[in-house]
Amino acid sequence: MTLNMVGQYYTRRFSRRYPGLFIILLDQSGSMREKVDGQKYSKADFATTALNNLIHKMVQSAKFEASTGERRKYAYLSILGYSDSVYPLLSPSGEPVDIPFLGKNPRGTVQVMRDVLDTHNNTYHKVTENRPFWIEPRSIGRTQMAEAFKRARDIAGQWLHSPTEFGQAQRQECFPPIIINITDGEDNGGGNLLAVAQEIMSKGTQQGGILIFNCHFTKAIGQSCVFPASVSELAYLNSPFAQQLFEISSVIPEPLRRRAASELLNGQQLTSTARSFVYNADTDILIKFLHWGTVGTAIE
Amino acid sequence: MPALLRAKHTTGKGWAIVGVLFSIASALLAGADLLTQAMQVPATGLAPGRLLFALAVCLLGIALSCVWSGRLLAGSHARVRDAAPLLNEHTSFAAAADRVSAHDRYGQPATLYSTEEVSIQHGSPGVPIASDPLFGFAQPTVGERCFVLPREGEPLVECQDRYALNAARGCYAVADGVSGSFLPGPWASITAQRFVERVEAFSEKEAFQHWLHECCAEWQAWMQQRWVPAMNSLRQLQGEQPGDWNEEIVKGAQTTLAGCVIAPLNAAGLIDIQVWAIGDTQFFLFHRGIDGLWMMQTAFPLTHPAQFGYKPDTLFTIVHPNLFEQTWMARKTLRCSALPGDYVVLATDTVGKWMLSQTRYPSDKLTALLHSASVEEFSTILHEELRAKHIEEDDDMTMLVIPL
Repeated sequence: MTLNMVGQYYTRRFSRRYPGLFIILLDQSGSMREKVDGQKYSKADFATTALNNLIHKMVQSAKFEASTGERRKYAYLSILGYSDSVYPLLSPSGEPVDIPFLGKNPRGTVQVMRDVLDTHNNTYHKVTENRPFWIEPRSIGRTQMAEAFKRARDIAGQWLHSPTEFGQAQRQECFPPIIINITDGEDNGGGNLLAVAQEIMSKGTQQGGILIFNCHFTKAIGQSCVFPASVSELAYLNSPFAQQLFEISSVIPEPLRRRAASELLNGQQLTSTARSFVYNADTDILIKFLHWGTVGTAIE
Repeated sequence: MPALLRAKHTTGKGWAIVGVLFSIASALLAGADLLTQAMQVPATGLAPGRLLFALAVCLLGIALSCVWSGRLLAGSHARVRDAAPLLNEHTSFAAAADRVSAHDRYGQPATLYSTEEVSIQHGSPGVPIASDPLFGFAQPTVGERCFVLPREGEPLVECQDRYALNAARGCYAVADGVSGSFLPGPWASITAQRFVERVEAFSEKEAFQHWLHECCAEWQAWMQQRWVPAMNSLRQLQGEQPGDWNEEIVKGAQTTLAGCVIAPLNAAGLIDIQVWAIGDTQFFLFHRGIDGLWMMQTAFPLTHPAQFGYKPDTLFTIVHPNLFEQTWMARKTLRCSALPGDYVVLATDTVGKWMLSQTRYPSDKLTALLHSASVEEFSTILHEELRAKHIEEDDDMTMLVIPL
């Protein structure tokens, strides 16, 4: 069943006049404590690091305005963690925070070592830098996914009706909010996940319905199912939860399809019914999925 | 010349005139005094002290009047750029004048395009940066038509496309700042303006290197002496700490550039044009057919839409031997000939790519675009093409039409 509105375009670029909203739901239940295969870190560690790097990338992607010296306010971000309850991870209330503000106000910094190419002699050398972070890993409790989606629904609804800042167009003219859910397991909390998702996707802007992207994250590597077009493609997984996530995932809008294919499928064609859903994503695919769903959609 | 020094020439046209008059008056008075002494004093001789004093004042007055006169003329030229007024929020347009033949244009003495007086003090951090000359757009003077359309949702001040005109020399340039770099718009403005003002051609590597270094020096000086103080002044007003953009300034800005020099009509009835380009900003030469449609005679440096890529060659604000060599090797030059009545067009990549696609499937839209008489027409045509997906991406779009 296609839950998106039919005939909408999703073409509006994110900009200071037409900012967008990302709401990321991060599973922080006990199962996220599992170690990623072959690595010392847990799924919670990796997912948190991936999100912190994503925020850093979103900040870096906000170029400076020549007239103000500030980074461009092209999007807002809200991150909710969920386990036994649902709680905000960026702002105390869960209210979306603009990207430039995040850039100026990290929670702290961690030392990161990375390889930098020396163009003089074409060699790599290690550089240590202080990388900001905004959220910290956690893994305890159950998986109140439906409750997380309800909270996301409320945040998105409030943002769509919130007063705009000077120079911004009405929210209804903007690209609709994107909700990205990262989970490693099944919803074992209360509530009707499918009903909440349907309610979310029935709302939106003139550009289209709110989009829901789901990324099921696994500790294993190389067993991913990326952007399935029908439930039958998930049959081999023998997982009702996979089917449930498929049903609550948006069809990938046409303007986003080419980039989705190039970033995650090495350019393979995607059908018009492909869903914004990855099951059994490994670490590499999680990073690419997050990039496509945020910076790739908004800016590049 | 650093922007700050150039800026000094632009202030106080009135004071310059007063200075000239005062100096001339001083020289005349001193000269009259000398003459009076010479006529009145008998054979006993002139008082040497008074004679020397009057001579010194006369010479000083002559020298000052020369200096002030020079500054007055230099200031007029510099003001052309420094005081170029900002245009409307989303578009810029130069009213289409009747086409002027190349012979008429170049038979006239050098003309300077007039601008409004801008009563700002360059270098003052309290002045809004949006009023800075680097964000302005020059007014055409000999029938050129200039169109700048920022991408959707962006104000004109943040547009990264720039153009520059020097009708007196027949020099024109369009530059497209790379959006991923730091403050590319002002860099595009500097390179375009210095291209049309340069004295030497770029045939020699040293001349090009010297020119590029001057551009880089201007950008650095403007950043440190104008932009950073202005931004910190804004922050102070908002109760914030001073900002630190050093890392971004070091990484710098990049821009593509395409420029041309249009010579006067030669004895063979042709107009020689030299073109210089780096990156994917395009030069076109159009000739009008008997059916009234414009046919593309020359496209440079790219000749097919598929050649437009994600990372074109660019000019960097970073001074580094490797980068300079890369830029020097990437430059492209062309000589071509045109006929009176032809159109020279300079366009940034999105418009250039679309134009190249139109020659594959001829349409009236290309002729309509070249005939755009208002920015609304220009915008309407391109936005229709964007909606029809004949233009893939909403981007800053700039086109300069120079009738020959």
